Amino acid sequence: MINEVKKDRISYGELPNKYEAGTMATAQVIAFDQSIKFLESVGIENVMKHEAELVEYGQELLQKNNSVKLIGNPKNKGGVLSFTIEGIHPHDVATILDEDGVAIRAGHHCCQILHDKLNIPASSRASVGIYNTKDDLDKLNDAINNCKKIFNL
Amino acid sequence: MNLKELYQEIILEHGKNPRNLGKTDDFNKDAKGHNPLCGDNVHVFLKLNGQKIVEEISFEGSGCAISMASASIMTDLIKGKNEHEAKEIVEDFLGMIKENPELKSENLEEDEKTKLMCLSGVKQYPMRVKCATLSWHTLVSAFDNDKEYVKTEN
Repeated sequence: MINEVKKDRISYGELPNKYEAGTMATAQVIAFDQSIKFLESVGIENVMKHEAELVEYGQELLQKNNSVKLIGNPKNKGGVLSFTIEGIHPHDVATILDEDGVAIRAGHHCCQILHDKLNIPASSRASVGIYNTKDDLDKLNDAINNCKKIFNL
Repeated sequence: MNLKELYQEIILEHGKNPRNLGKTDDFNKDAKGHNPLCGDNVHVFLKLNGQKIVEEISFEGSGCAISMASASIMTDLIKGKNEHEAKEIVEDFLGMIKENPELKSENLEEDEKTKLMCLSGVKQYPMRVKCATLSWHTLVSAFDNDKEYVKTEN
């Protein structure tokens, strides 16, 4: 926030006000309200059920895929599939998947210590949500096969 | 966008079997580079003679195919060049990755230029530029024997 603005000079408010500048996040507030309404209309249990089904389907699919190694298999697994592909670095995986329209996250995911413990430099992670379908996971699997093809594996 | 251009055979081959990987005996210059966002690490070792010619060059590190191939090709091309020539080649490479469609350097043979041009596909993938440039920035740092870590993020 400002204190005073003139043509040739400006002075800012005292802390913390000087860092509280800007337009109120009106669009975000409205969108957040709509997001809550949407989730409530679907039902949070249904969202969780949908994600659990997708993750189970994805796990089965990727387990069958040679050279894909899934990471982590806890009870009550959330909507994520972490994996590595033998012989291909996760950043290369992410770039190739991206070209096939599959967006994943690759790297150490702000979790370097875990990756050290797992003795891997990085991992790939696909997340599923209410908007995903089993068809998307088939596309993920196809894109992984394309990676292997590009890397001659 | 063209994946085939990014992952050419030569890139895949250098990525899989990097040249000059390891620590050079009797190196007299070195520097480390780190890419905090992806976790790529590289350590470049140089052995310069009295005429500032690179007698030996090697690197240690881990990373994606692009970063390993780029480091490998770099060591191949820099070996035998003097410091001035090497730095010009680095400038030329960085220029190519950013905008220049062609290499200007007079310090490279045609076949060396062809090899370096194989990395130009990275230009179409802004997210991957840092993978390709880390080892080159680290090389400059090694010449200057800068003990500070080179980072691709500031």
